[in-house]
Amino acid sequence: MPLSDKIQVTDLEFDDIKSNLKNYLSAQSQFQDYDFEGSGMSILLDLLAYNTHYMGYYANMLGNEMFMDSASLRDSVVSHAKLLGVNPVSVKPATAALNFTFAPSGSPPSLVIAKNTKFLSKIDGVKYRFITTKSTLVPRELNGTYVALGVEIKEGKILNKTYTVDVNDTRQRFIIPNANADTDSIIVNVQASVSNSTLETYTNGSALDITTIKKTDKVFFIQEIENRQYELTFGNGAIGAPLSDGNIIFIEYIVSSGSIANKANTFSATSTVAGLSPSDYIVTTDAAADGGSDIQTTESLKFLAPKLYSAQKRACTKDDYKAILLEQRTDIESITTYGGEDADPVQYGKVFIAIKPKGNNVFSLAAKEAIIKDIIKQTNVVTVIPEIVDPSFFFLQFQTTVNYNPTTNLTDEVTLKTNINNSIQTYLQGNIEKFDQKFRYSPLTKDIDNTSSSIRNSKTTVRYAQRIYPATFGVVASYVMNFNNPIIPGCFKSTQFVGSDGYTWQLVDDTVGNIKAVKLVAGSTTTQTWTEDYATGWVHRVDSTGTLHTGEFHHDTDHHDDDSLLLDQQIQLDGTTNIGTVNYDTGKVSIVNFAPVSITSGASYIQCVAHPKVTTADIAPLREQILTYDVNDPNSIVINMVQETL
Amino acid sequence: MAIFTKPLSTNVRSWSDLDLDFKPHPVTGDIVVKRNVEAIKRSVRNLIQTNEHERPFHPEIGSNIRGVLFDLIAPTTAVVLQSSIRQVLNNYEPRIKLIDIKVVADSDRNGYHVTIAFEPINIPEAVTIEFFLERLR
Repeated sequence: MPLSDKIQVTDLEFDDIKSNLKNYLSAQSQFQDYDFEGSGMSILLDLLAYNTHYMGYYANMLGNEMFMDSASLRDSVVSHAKLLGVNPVSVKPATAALNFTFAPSGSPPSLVIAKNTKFLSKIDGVKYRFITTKSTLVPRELNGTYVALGVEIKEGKILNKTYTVDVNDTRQRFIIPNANADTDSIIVNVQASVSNSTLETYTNGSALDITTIKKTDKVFFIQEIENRQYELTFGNGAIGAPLSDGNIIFIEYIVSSGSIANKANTFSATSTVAGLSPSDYIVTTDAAADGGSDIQTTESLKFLAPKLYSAQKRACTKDDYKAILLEQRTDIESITTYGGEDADPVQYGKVFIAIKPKGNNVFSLAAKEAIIKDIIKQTNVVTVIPEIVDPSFFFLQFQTTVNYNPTTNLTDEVTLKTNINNSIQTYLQGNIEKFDQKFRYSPLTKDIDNTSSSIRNSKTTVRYAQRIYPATFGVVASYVMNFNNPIIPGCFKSTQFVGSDGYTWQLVDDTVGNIKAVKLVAGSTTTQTWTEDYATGWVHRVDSTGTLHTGEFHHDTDHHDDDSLLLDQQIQLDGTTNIGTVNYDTGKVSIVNFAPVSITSGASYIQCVAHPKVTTADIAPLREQILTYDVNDPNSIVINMVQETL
Repeated sequence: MAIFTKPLSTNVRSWSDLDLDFKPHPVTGDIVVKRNVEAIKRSVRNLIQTNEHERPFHPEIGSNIRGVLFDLIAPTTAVVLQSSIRQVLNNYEPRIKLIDIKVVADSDRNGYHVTIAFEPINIPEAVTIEFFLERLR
């Protein structure tokens, strides 16, 4: 049979393969009907093309799974990561702390809160079980009370699995048959044999330096296997002691729900605690549940494994800190690091790590200490002092005026406004709210304009807000806010707070670089309406005599009714009236010796708003700053709709 | 529709196809080759007996008459069958010019007598195929 002189073998699609086969057959004359769908030849070609397509797909998948970059199956990625010395992080249980005050009958010398004492907590109507992972001794105090503070409980359930070693079974594996096991909670005890009850506890060799493990060390190693389960392996006589025939392995581990149990803060015991019923003790929450995280995702593992290999378990560069912390703590949503030489003020010898946890704004003090002690101190250069800083949230406020054509608008104005609001929020949620993510002005305005074809144009301005969270009310403290861009003099103001004299005060700038606290009368500044006209002038200003005026719109040609606008300014301990300073060129605001007694709105923060000189500029966050917006703030997204029919 | 590697004119090509029964030739022992009108007849039967979604990657090819055979024996069902057969042949058998399709219900035998008359292109003589369609359980 004469054959076509060109055989195309690179196509993978069914139709292309079939077409190639037809071309191949066109060079012969014995079977001519391959062109017609009803012919037997066509059916035969379908089968051949289908088979070739099937094999091509299989070969393609096989090729993809051979490399970490292109692998899509978790088992493949885990296997590749294993070669780089990286094991995926397992699920981690949320951890809370409880305080107990016991009142037992009699005067026992001590009480014991047993391991695996169970508690329940509810989140959104769903119950989660918490347990103690170790027993706690509660001694009788000198005054006869029994108090246990900070008793740690973890979300989950303790499970056990037992294996008997059979050295003749070459296929024997020691598998933890649960996908949601916390590998940190695994405890392995090995009994010599059924007749010899000598029990030895094995340690996790995966957490040790492999070069330090001797041939007699009782260690086990953990590796993730198929279906997100874990397999334990033991020493081979060179690295770690080997198992013997008849050994009985007792494995204990916690199975947890992960991050979903974070924020649980009310706990009740399901049975007795230290042998006492609820009427004999008082339990309070010392720290709400925190630190729970889900199993490391395949994407995260693909991203981190090469970086961890590059870091070699040593934190030297900024990326090393990021890679190591992201690997160890899967409850981190965003992280950035910077050296002390970039800090303000400069602090040589330090490295600052800013972390935003998942589902929360900041880590608890205990969590931060644990990160420093258990992770960073194990890996970083000895002369460098690590410090974890909380993220500083830089709130953006948007004011948009949208001109639209009501005749081409297929919905009503309210719906269009809602859609524009959704467009803005979608853009913000996808493009900011993490460290080092800039706000870019033009993509936002493009998204607003693209919301509907009825929108003719829009004009958006951006204002800045930051928040002061007084740690303790009535205690003097200093605060720094960086707005990172030039701001207009006379446009800085804060929300209201109560001073030590019981009056309501507000922070404003005086247009010449000072921050002052001004007293409010009857809830508004000097009983005048606070007019905000940032486009044409100042909200507050200092006149030629040095007097601060505020509460009404002023500009250079409109000095009206000045005398009624005189304000009381808070007198500081040193006799001055300055609460701080503001640099209008850099946007840096420093507030010193500030001691509000309470906050008028009842919130935990004082919000400070500044108006930038350029309201249409991109904004880059600085160091630990995260650009964000407050969906609950009515000033966060303000949309003015203007109908244009012409 | 099929993309033809050669024009349909019989001056250029003849029709020859595999016999999917794969019976060997009694003398040579080779696979039997169906030629010209016989090849077309076999193609017509294949198309009618193919259900939609049966061919890989080409769910549109087929007549779907199997489902219709389980409907009640009635003149309307015969019309539906006739329409299905006409559609699949018009779409996927470019070598014929349909003359007529007759579908007659046979309620005693729970099936239909089908007669298809067509004229192969470039061969000016009518060809008739007859077969009986009945459902298989």
